[in-house]
Amino acid sequence: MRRWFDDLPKYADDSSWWPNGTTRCRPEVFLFWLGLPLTIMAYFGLSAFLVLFKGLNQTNMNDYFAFGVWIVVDLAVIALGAGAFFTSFLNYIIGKTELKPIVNAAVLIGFICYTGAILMLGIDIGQPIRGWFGFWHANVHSMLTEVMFCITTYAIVLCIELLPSVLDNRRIGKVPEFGTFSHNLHTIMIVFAAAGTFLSFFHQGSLGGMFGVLYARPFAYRGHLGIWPMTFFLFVMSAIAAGPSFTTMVVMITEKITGKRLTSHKVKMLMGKISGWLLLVYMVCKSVDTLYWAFIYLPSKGLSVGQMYQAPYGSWLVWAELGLFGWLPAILLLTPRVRESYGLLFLAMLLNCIGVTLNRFIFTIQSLALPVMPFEKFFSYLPTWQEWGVASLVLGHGLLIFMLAYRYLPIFPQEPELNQR
Amino acid sequence: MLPFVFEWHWDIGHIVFFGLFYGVVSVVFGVLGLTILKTILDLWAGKIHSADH
Repeated sequence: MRRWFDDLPKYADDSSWWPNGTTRCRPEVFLFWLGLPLTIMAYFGLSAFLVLFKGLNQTNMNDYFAFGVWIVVDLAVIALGAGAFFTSFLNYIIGKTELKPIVNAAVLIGFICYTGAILMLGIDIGQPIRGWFGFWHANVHSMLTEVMFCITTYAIVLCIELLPSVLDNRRIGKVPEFGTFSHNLHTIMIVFAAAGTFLSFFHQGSLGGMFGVLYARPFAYRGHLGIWPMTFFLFVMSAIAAGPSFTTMVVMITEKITGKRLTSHKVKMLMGKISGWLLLVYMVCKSVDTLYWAFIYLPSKGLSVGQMYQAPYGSWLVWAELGLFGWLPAILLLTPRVRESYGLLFLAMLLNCIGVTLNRFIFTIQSLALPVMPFEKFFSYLPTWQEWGVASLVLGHGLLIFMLAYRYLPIFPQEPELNQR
Repeated sequence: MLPFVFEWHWDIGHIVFFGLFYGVVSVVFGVLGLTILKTILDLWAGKIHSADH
């Protein structure tokens, strides 16, 4: 018996699976921390069961709020996951190879965001086993059909983009078939990056376009450029501005938790600079769009800005979205001294990510809160605990995949070099 | 949806929408298939890439 206990650490030792030149915490510590995502996923499981078994009466969605917290979280994580396609685009297609140390992390985070959103939407549609109907009985005039096609196809592309990282695991990579397949995938990755860019551009845009075509809702409706409303382009711009920030933020949080340096600060500063310029362009376009909407479009329909903002969705939301979480992070990210500081860079990126999340909240919830008939009143919406439970899947599933990937996959190629003692 | 099902219409919406969709899907799976094929041929020819090589 004693010998069995003595031998136990040897069998429990998973260090031969860790990336080359790295160290990780002991397996029992890792297993203990896995309890956190598993608890969140258990909460999701209970909520999802109730929603699927008892129906949408478990939520606070109704005839006015056909979209709730699930769509807000879905739109937010899709935007935050845009770092995957944009970083891959810059690295593989534009040739910005300085981003190579962070591209694996960007793909992993994108994979987490997209698969999490798809799983959550499986509950949102109410009948997950009929999910394929959208492909077979497609309504080609619907923005959501385009979103569905692109998101599912892009999730497949992300699986392919992530595959080399899995195959490059220290033990898996020793199998000649896997090692050779991984090598060949690396050489052709530019094609998948291009396909991912095409798909992402259209579904990020169509998520915004979905609101911009609601001509009966003046809060969301916008003028068109070609067949696309302005929100199509604004959603693409805001996603590519926030995506690189979110990727870098996740890397920084991982660095703080693990106590290790995972990418050089130069790479983070570059991501911050890219985010800053993209955010600046977005803020200029968004501000012009808001001014046109407030002072030309709304008065032309006999409406005023004041009617659009009522408690609890007051005008403070405009100042928060455009000022505190819009122009401020753009200015901060474009200031070299801010980017040089670890803490300030993180703060600016956090404000940027909150901004895009707030934008998705405003378009989803506030658009529906406004009355469309003279006899209706201004509505508000608060999710139930079951709705939060389903939405928490993204967090639980993300933590679980990220923890496993960090432990076993070579996601951060600079880690061994940066942590040499 | 495929062109031979009853819901299909030969209009610009269906042609552009599904043309692009099937185009991208074909490129993604085609390139993946070619990569698998190249891997098989490489292994056959002894061009092995692995952590041990």
